[in-house]
Amino acid sequence: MQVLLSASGIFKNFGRAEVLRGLQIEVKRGETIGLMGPNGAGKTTLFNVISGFILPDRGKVHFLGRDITSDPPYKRARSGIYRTFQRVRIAEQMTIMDNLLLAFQDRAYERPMSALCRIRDWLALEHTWRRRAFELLKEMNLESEKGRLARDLSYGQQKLLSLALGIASDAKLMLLDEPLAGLSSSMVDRAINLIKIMVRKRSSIIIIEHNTSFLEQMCDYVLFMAQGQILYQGNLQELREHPGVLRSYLGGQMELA
Amino acid sequence: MEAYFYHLVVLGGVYIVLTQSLDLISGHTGLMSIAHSALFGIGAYGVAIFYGQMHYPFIVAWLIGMVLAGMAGLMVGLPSLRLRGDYFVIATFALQVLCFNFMNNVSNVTGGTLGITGIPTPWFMSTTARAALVCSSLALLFSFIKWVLTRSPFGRVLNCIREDEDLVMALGRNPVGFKIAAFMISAVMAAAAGGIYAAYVSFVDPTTFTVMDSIAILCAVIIGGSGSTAGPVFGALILIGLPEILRFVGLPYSVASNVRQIIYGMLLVLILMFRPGGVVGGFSFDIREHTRL
Repeated sequence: MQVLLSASGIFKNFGRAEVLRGLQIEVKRGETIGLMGPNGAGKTTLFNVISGFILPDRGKVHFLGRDITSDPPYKRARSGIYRTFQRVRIAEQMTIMDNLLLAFQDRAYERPMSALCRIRDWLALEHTWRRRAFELLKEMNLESEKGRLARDLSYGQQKLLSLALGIASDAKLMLLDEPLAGLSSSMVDRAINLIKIMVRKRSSIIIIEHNTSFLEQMCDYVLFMAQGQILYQGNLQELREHPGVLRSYLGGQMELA
Repeated sequence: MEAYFYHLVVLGGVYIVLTQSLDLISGHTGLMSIAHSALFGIGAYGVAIFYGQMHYPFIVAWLIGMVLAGMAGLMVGLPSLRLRGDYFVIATFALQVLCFNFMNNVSNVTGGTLGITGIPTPWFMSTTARAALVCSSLALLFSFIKWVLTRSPFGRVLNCIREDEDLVMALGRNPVGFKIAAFMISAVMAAAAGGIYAAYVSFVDPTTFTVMDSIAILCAVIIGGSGSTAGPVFGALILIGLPEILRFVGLPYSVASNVRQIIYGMLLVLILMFRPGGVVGGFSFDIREHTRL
């Protein structure tokens, strides 16, 4: 399988805290990977480094064979990396439909000149964008809410919307930061449904999540991070017996359920 | 009475263009500008100098004013819009102060404190009725342009910049370019309003383009309802309506202008407390989020 993303020798310090210490990661096309680890292990920082919101102190990030280490976040997003944020980020004072249209719309029509001079062109295209957005809304059971402002949605629905933005932007690599945290069980099902759509579209996915049964169901394998490094890579069964994992997660006292 | 009505229509049209231009940047893109009376002034002085004094055709002078304002917008936007948040407000304040001092002090170009008088009235504004027609058409035209812009894919990106720049980047757009483009368009529109204004009143002087005027315009847009098409129209009506009402109340001129500031301030506080989306409603400045009222 083709290697989609590779990051090697990633170091990142915040002041005196060493958050990432020589981290190494490789993601192949179409893989779904669970990313686990105790709080402060550097999981979200790793997402920030891959998506470009934080530049590493040392190390290289390659995406589709190209060195993207110094690319700004929007360039990485264009080449196909989408990330969600732990705190949900959506355009709150825009309608749900407009949120999705923003992800669907063609960048070629975003210049102010083409907004004015090619009205017929983008209006025609807008129909297709709306239709595709509507299909996605149906997957989320939100088709009746499309005209509402995103801030009026429940927390769970907002989280679904942030996942849907990833599907709409057609990214090759999805970085999902705790997509299920804080969701009710019916919302969890809808979120899993959306993640399955990503899988069907052959996107590679890295999911930060603590829910092991979900990871078992969705992921090809899991990565376990501790102290800024990947401590373990493999399936969940073996992870549960890995002595280092037990130590760092549970202080070595208990066993994983 | 008829002439007075036409006069109000002319001012209304000019101010609608101005408030719409400000709303594009403050209401839709979420960037407060307190330079809009200076940009308005650049347009006005452009017409006063190039049409009034150097006798270029009106349309040429008008366009020169717009281009100059667009360049001023670019000059301020390039360094400040790379940064986020309040730096832009400070930069626009700097532009405002710079422009005012230029108008006030570079007397051999701008006439200094005396300004420029005797700008001939262009033929299409020779009667107040004609002027009213021209200004209301321009107000319609520019409102329509802004309406199209803000509903287009371009406008959707602007709205998203107002909401969350990180999200804009996560979706693959570079916010900097969009912000600069929006500010330049806004500057050009403001100058367009200024040029027409100068031709109508036939004189310009720096007192019309102070920072207090910039703030009044911003207040009017917020009170009317930013991020909408009707809101700035309502704001423009406040801008021209309030002085007229105060005049009928019979306050002396020197008192009236101060009372006006007080009323703007009071209206602004009341609006932000009870109807943060403005009278017409649009994007809400949710002060509760920041102040826990």
